[in-house]
Amino acid sequence: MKRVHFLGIFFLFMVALVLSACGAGKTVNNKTGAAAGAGGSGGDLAEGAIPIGAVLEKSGALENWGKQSECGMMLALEELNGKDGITIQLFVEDNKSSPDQSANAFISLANVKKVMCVLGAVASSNSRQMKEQANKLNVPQITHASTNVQLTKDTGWLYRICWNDAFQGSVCAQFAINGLKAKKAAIVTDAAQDYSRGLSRNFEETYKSLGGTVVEELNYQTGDKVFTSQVEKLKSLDLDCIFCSGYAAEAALLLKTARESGLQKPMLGGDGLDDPQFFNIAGAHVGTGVFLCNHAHEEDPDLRVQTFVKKYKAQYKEAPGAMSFLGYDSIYAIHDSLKRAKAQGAITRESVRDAIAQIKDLSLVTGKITMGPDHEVKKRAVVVECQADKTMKFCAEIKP
Amino acid sequence: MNEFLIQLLHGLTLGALFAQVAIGYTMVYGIIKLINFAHSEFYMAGGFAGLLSLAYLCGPGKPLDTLPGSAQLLLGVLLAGLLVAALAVLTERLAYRPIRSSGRIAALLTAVGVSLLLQNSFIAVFGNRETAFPHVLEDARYPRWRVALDELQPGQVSEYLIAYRTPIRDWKGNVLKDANEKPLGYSHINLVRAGQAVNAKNLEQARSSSIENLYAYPAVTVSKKQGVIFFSLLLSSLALFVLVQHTRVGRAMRAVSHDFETASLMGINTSAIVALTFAVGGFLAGMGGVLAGGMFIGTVAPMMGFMLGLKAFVAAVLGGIGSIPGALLGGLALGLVEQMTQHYADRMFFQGASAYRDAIAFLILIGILLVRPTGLLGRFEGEKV
Amino acid sequence: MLEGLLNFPNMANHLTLIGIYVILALSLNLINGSLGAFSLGHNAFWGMGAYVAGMLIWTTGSPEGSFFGFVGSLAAAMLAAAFFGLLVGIPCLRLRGDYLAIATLGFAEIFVICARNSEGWTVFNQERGLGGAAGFSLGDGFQGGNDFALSMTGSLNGRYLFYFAFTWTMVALTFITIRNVLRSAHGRAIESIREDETAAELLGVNLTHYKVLAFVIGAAFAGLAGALFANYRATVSPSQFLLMEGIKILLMAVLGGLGSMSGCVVAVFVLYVSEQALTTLAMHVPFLSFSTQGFELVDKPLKDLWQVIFSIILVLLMLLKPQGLMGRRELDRKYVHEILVSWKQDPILPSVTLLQWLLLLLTLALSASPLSLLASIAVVVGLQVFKQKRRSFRVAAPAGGTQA
Repeated sequence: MKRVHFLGIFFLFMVALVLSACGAGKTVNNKTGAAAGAGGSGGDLAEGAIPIGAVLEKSGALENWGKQSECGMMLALEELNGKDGITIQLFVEDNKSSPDQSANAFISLANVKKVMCVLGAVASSNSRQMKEQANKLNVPQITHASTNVQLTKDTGWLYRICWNDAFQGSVCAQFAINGLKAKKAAIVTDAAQDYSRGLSRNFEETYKSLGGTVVEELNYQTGDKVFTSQVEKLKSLDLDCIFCSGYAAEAALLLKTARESGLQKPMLGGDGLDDPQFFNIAGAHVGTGVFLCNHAHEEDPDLRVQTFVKKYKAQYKEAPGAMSFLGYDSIYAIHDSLKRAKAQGAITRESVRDAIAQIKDLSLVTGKITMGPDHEVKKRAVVVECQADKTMKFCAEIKP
Repeated sequence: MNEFLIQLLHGLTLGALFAQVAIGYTMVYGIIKLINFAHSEFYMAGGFAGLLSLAYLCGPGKPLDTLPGSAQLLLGVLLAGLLVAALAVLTERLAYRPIRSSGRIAALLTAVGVSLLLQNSFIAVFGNRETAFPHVLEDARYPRWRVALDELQPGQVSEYLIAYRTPIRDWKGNVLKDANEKPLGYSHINLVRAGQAVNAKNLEQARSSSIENLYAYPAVTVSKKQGVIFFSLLLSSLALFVLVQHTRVGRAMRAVSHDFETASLMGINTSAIVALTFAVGGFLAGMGGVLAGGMFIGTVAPMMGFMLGLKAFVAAVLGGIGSIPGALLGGLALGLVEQMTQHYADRMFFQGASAYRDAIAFLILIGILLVRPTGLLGRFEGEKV
Repeated sequence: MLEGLLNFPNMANHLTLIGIYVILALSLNLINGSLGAFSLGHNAFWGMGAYVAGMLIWTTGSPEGSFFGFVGSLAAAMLAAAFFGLLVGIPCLRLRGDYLAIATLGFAEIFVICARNSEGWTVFNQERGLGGAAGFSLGDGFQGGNDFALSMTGSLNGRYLFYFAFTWTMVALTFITIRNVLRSAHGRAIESIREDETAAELLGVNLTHYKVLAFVIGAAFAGLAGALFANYRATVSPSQFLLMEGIKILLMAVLGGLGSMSGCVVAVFVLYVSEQALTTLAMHVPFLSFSTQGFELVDKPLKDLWQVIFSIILVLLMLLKPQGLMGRRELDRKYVHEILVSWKQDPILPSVTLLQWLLLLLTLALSASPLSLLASIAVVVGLQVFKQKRRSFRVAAPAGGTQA
């Protein structure tokens, strides 16, 4: 067979690299309707625009959420274009739902595009990798969707504009006691996900402190399909509700197995259940009493929310998910920070970081936020009930 | 005791699924001494083949949508089996035959590559998420006997669990219907549990909903879906037994698995036999995919074959790789172990022990490989110099 | 993307990662290539090294970090991974090819499962366990500090430079060590086991000793790579060491040629660069996609299909060229000399090869249409046929000097 000339390969791959750089100069037309001025990572910086980076899960296991975030961000960019003298140019990188790629993307954005701030990621494990880089590279990071409690500790640069798992757990516990009137609950945890374990722990703490009893704690693994053991155990117990802190795919199967075995107790979950997959898998059973804690909901009568929902539906032909709301808000948050940083002097990474730390009473579609000294915000959460027609019905709003 | 029996049945069901896939692994290894990593993807492809057959042939408005649910399922299973058998033969032809002479490592790596290729292609086409399988089989639990609603009085203690099936409603109380005006699905609601008194409220609720038959169930029941899985395994094993032991083709298969070169010297068309083995293994895996993924779980996903395939392989090794009864035994045993670990580990060891369930399966694998590499029912193969 | 190439921290980042992968590929090459075993669980050794190094730094760390801590973590990681290699190697001694592969796979999966459930494992640290599925950061509790490289060099660029230089020093160390082992009597014994185990045993080679030795050395260097990785990234989590990573490393070793060390280096570069380059391509190809409406042809960006392409590369590689890029040859003077001689003999062949590659890569880089890609592939295949014909013609005619 032919002998491969390695030197030739080496040389040619370097050539390829250089040439593909030229090829990538074209703007990529995204199916999600990229707004002008945000032409992916290949665009050049426009005159007077401020470079902001975003690292999102645009492919891989969490691509739904990454794409929703991006859609929300693009919508916000269109609305804010040039307002208050600030033009943001967004460079979006795909981290392929992998922590290592997140770190690479962050390093590239910070050094190559010289962004003032990085937004993202959705998953806490990816945000954590980026947080390490943010600490070392001295670049502020705003995460719009990662809820792990550990993220905002030990950092001078990472800020979070959504609530965290501790709050989410307590919201669920409060709703269980007050909304569902459930004195006895069983907790089912996805043992392979830190998100799920953290949420279960926080739920348990608050639930017990409010007088509830945890009758059983059960586990499963991500990717499990068979829940016969868990359901049999649950059936034999005297309980009022089931708290499932995992992601949509497994929770839906748990729900289905439970309903088909005669277990009709309501199910409560976190924002991990907010996924179209949940409806697909659980089928008609979603309407039988599934509640989840979420960041925002469509039927909010607030004018800003309604305008946002209408615009989003018109542009993307589908209803916005929680990530869309949060992505939209992250652009508003960074815009507000940039405005104040500019007013106080030059726009540098330090001044942007200080401006983010001083966010006060900023009105967003997911609520009004003020940045606290612990890099967290206090925001309200909503509890919604899933309907069989794939919409969510508003149940309760719980303020911090 | 009842709890144990229920978990036993669930474990055997899980084991039956493992066994169905393990047979394919063991047959291919017996014939060409290759661990076909791609076999787990055949199982997954079977699930999708079933999904597509049902969607295109039995969906609303399609030619065969008037068939009863069980007939539709049977059709789906057979079509999926045939399609996956074709896929298996194609894989053998394109990927395994050329490297047959290249040594073990090349063959294994090719198998890994084919497995990854199938996984990733399906992910590219169908997305890395669960797709719902059409609901064609109405589940029911047996044994059961009918109870009349009028017979029950509030406060009456019931010896058995009494439950009824009711169509799923939305929060307003309307029955949810699909495009064919059939209810979207059914829920089981327990009217009264065994040893408890009938609650007036529950009785009232039952009287006001449009329930379809009130049944009493004993503590331990077998569901229709479990029955289908057991029955299909039984049927496949019987058919395979007849094929391998009592037909000419089967004799040829046994000969080839015993000694490849000599069999070809005896005039057996070894290439055809190898292709046939792959086809049979693939057929069984495809059936498994539809029954397990589609019918039992209700969803299919491109990654559904990975873990199950790995465990089915462990089962094949446990039973003795190369031996079909071994695959059956190994599959059932492993299914039982896994179900029991999941259910009892938290109580027996420490809270959270059930999370190590998969590790137990691999420990069993390593243990068997060290203690008795030929498995429970395998034969000892000396190493030829 | 050109600016990405010329940007120092970005390139240093990529080159450091490439260095880590080279160490991994070299260590796997020792086990799979030189010994001839088939270990699928290399990600576990890598992970073990990372966890041990990370844990050590975390428990003994200080806000500025320390050089002794850093070097100590490397040594501890190597020891721990070597011990784990011993643990895995001894039981797997009696197993042949297929069984060995599955057994090592089993060990690797057990490692991942234990790592995921390690939240309560307060073995090293009384307050916190090993972080479980989330993993842990080396800077947790140190206000983002505990990075000795940063405090030693004082600047961020310095940190990148340090890790880049140190990693490649380690690469050189690994390369030289493994090469020396292979050139010694131990190495010959190991390779004899690969060639014919029974014959080697009959000739007095202690199978147990040498098999375990190969496993231990391979695992130790994988642990080194893990320690470097943990220090560089400053976080450790189970999702960095999944089975897929192990298969990626295997592909790198196989692409280079099992048994060839320089092949490993080349293959790592090839795979890493092509993966990064592919993500910048703008080409869209029509691809089948299934949604609730049924099948439809959508325009998928080529970079989303990287995993599919990766698997096709593996299958084609095993079908067409199972010995990899370099077979068992090393990139030494003799090899280069042979190539130069054959180029001199028939200059047409290498120029045609150059043409093929240029055409393919230019199409990928510049074009946005899959039709042109198909056309260029057709031309490349045609040129390949031409080369085959020419080569057989040249072989038939008498030719002087060494022939390929």
